[in-house]
Amino acid sequence: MARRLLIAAALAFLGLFVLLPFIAVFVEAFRQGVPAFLDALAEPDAMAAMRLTLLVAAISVPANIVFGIVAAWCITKFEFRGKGLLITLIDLPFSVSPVVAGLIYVLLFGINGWFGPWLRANGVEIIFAVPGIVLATIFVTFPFVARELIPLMAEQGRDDEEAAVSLGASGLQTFWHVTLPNIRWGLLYGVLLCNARAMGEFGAVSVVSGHIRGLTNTMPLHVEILYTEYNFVGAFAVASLLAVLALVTLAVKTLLEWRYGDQIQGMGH
Amino acid sequence: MGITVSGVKKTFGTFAALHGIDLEAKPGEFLALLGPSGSGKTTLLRIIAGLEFPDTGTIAFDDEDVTQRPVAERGVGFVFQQYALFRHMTIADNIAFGLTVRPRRQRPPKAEIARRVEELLDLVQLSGLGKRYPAQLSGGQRQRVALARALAVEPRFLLLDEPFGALDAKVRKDLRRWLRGLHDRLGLTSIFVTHDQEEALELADRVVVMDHGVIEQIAAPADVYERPASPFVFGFVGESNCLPVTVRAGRALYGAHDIGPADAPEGPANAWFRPHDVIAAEDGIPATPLLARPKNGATRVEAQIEGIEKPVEIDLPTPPAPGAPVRFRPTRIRLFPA
Amino acid sequence: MTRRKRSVLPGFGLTLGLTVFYLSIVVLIPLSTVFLKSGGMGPSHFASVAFSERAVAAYRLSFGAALAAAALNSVFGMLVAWVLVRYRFPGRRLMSALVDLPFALPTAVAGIALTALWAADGWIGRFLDPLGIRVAYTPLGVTIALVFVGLPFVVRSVEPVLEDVGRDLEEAAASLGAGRFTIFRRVILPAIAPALLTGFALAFARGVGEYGSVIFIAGNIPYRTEIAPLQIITQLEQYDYAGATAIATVMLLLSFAMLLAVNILQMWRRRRMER
Repeated sequence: MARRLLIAAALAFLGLFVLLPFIAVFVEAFRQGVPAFLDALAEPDAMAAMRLTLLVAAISVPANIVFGIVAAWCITKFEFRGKGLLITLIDLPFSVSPVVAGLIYVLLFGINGWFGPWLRANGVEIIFAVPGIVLATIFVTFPFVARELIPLMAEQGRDDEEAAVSLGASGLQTFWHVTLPNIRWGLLYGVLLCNARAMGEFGAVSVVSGHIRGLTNTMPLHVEILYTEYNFVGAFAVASLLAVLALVTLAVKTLLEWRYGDQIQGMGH
Repeated sequence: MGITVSGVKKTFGTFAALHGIDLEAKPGEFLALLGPSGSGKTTLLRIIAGLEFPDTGTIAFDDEDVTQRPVAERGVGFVFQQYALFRHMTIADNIAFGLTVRPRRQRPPKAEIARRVEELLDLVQLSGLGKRYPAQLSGGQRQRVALARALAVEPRFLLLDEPFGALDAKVRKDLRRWLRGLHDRLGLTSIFVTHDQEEALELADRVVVMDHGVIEQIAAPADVYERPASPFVFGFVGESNCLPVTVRAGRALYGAHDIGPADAPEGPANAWFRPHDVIAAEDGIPATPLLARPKNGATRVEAQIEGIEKPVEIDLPTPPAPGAPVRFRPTRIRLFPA
Repeated sequence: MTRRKRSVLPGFGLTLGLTVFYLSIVVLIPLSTVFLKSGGMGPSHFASVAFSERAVAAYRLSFGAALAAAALNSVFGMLVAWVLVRYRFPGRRLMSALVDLPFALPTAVAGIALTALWAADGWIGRFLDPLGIRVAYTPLGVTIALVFVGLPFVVRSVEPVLEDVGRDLEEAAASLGAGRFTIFRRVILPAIAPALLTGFALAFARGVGEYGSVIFIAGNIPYRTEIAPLQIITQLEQYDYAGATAIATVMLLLSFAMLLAVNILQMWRRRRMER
């Protein structure tokens, strides 16, 4: 039966190329047993990496949430020329290689960069320090929330907001009482994706971080360091935490799509 | 409290929605803006509300120029075509919204707000449904909630955008009657937009007939029906037929048939008449019957006149004999220039 | 008396201002540094760096592998999308979630996992090694990594269109006597072509710039198995800003070209739907 064959072929393809690598992470992490796994995670540099990852996410995700909401409101509730251009510009970070994303901040704030001398003179460290990592992360996760909200809010139209304003509500009141409840699941969805990328970003952060153990290593960078030192169990142990994060992200994402699919819309990448 | 619209023009990009509108809604009046889609009636209503701004012209409420005032400060109650109910709030919260967003100083205490909501729920006959959500109500019920919400802020005027457009026929008829009753009770100056001429004629004190951004006629329903000011109004309001005629010596002639007196200059003209202003006559205009059906005690016949593309619709006392042409004459015609 | 255009809803000026401001600070100004620096290099210097032998080898690898991976993904991605849209079977939702995994999994994690699988002593590699097939540290490995990375783009691009095309079109064609393959070739393929191309373009663009998933499996030997993004990093580590920037410029121009292509494809698709 053609149907069974096709399903099997699709499953085989996905199994080989997608599922297997995912499983490999966990198998390799526990290759030397549970104690070795836990030791690898409790190691001070690993813990520092986890703290840094959380810190970076805690700064960049809220920043992009605010931006995403502001941009979506601007684009969907008003008519003006250049909207298409604005949307394309917002999408830009998606099409830029992560390494290039890191490079641009080095060009701005690195030692030989535009602001390099000034920063050096004032003792401000951006590249090879946490601020650089935050900036690069903000760049690569920039579009997520906006891209999710824009089609959603565009589809919802302006009627509700016009009704609220006609009843005397201010802009902020309208947003809080009327718009926000209408977009909450889409917003959560966007935040989820933004967060996953913020915590997992590698290329861009690799360029700006300086790889200083215990100080400027996020979890993905720490994975790399451990791997190149042939500490495979350590590398996969930290990697498995990130893989669990991916799993949770996917699970919540699937749940949201299933329960609130009609309120999320616009899931094209 | 009246509304005055003067010289309002509005263009969207290259599309001219309104060409210069002058209009007055008298205090306590129930005014209908009637017209086909694209006539500009909704645009006009939204401009009066402050949901659009005119390119030129002014809007005045009781002689006070409000043209530049934002919608939140105009004190109008607007009912949207798709209701625009806040779906994540209960009915009661929806109705109370306009009161709860008032700045602290002007906001009534909670108990007072709750009382008003109850009052309004009673008024729109939805008592006891306060805790429900919009998705749990029928179309007609949602419409009444939208109305209650608009009334909660005690507006000076009520503006309704195709209030019954999204409802099915029976609900529409019932709600129509109910709305008129409500208006009579409240005495609020109201303007509503509709494309349904039956609705406009039944409900309004005066009807504003619009087409392509221009007002064709403003008059009481009876006048709009009996004394239409233009061919468009004649054709849009009520059923109609049109025959090309020649005016000669004060008579309108279709070919050899004299169909009525003509107070118009000599030469070609168009004669309009209604299906029921017609009698069967042996020397009348011949036409081949295409369809016949019973209507209001008579027979509505759709018949083809030779040389005229569009069939005429005429009411005859008896069904036509099969195969035989009918002959008829209009009893009352209205002439417009050709 | 004519008046300025006004908005009914509040906040236009504020939100537009903030949006443009944030966009400039985070995206536009940093991106412009690349072009300004390249511009400052003068055309001949730029060309010699951006198209040096080593750089060209890197482009060939990055572009070539991305192209091959995107092509493979187009075929199998279409298959997966078809199966997800047309058939109902237990585990369908899980399969759909699986498609999103490459999008959600951090690239470094994917990188080491793929290497663990395909290295000569890896889970799969150990069966291929005796056959003389080396995957890790070769362009083949890079391609496989990019297949992993690009899959969601094709599937998610094609899925909504397949849903739209709907069973009835196929049934109509079948009732008129068309065989299965004919139906596929003449009814379905044309309908999904723009979406398929969009997915291909997105997967390709992503593949060219990909770093984390590829860097572990790639081997990274200059002139042979060095991907373009790695070359940028190497040059940065040597403080050769100019060299790094030159290559980055080439990659950025390609990115923009792809973005343009995708936008045009979307417009084409929209126009077709309106016909």
